[in-house]
Amino acid sequence: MMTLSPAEWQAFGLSLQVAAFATLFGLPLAYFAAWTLSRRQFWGKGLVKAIIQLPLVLPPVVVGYLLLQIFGRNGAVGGPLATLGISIPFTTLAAGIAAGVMAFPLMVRACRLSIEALDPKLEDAARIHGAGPVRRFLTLSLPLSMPGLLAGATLGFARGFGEFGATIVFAANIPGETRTLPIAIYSALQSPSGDAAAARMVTVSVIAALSAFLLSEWLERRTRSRLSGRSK
Amino acid sequence: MSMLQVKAQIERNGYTLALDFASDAQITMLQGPSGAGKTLTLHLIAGLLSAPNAQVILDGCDLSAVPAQDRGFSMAFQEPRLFPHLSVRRNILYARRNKGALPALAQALDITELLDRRPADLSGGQAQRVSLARALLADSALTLLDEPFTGLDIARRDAVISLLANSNRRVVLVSHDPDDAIRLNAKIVHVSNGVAR
Repeated sequence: MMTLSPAEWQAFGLSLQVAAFATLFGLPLAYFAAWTLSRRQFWGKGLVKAIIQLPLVLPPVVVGYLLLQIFGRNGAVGGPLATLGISIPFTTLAAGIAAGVMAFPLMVRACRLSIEALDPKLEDAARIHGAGPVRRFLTLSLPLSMPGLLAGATLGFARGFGEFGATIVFAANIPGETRTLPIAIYSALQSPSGDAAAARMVTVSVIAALSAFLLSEWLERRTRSRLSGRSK
Repeated sequence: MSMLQVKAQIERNGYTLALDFASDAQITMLQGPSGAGKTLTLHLIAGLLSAPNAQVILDGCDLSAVPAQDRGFSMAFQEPRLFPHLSVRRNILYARRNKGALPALAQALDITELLDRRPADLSGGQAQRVSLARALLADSALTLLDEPFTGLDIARRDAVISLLANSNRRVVLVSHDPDDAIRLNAKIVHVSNGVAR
């Protein structure tokens, strides 16, 4: 029962790829956004915060539609790209972008909680001992907010792995290109003989999600104890 | 003659602290009742606190616009403020100055055995000594010490006093004990009733 067909493996692999893309590219941006929101005061900050959180509250299909408008042939980003012969909608990259956008607010939130928990008194101690902003960031803020980064990576990966609504609108359901595991499950359920395939893929999804969660819990615990725990 | 001059008006929570003092002593001691603003004064000198029109002049050089990290100072705070993810050794060497003096200083402060531990392994007194070591190792233009003798037993307090008295480092420190001023031959600046002179 647990033997996936080549097409199902392909969907599984594509989901991993899309989730990894969303995490790898989304996390640094999320950390930067979280840092800016936590540490900087600027005009329109409330609006920026609201826009970042928007994918959490908007129906994913709406996010997919908006991405299609932005990256479409006549869109703000898609238009200039089209003149260069680049088209993003309905590609694997589109699936990655959709997953990244949907995962972004979760990654920002995890990073922000961690950045806001940093003790500014430690930064003062670093400043008086000669550390400029870059050194303070690299030697204090970044390592001390690593648990938040890891939590953000896990949440982002999980959200990207399970992304469906925005992906099906922006990237469609193309086997081998944009048919990720959730979309493959949906397709299987649409077919009269697809119950067994859907059940196989659901099982694999649950196992993959659980393994990722346990791995990240372990990593996070390890990092926390390495950062603030006792020496061996 | 080397000289530290401080002139500022600090407003905090409806309380105004007027600073106007100069010292050409090697060791300057801020004395006054709790809450009078001694720590605020140290933070202002360090550049960790800004006040409009504040002036911190060291040897004729106005540092008011110089960021804390570029002043070349070091400081031991009231609480140790050690970096939890770094070993004691790396905490002390964070200032990246005068690394060669670590063994002798660690011995004087009785922390040699602690160098490879993490701050979470230290008692309050040990952490305070490590924080002192970080400030004293730095060989800085000005060393700021906020109640450096708190939590030290008599022997270690004597060790730190003799370390300070026998070095030529310039120090501004906060202490409540008038005997410390005598032993350190320090110039006293009184901070009370919102005024420091």
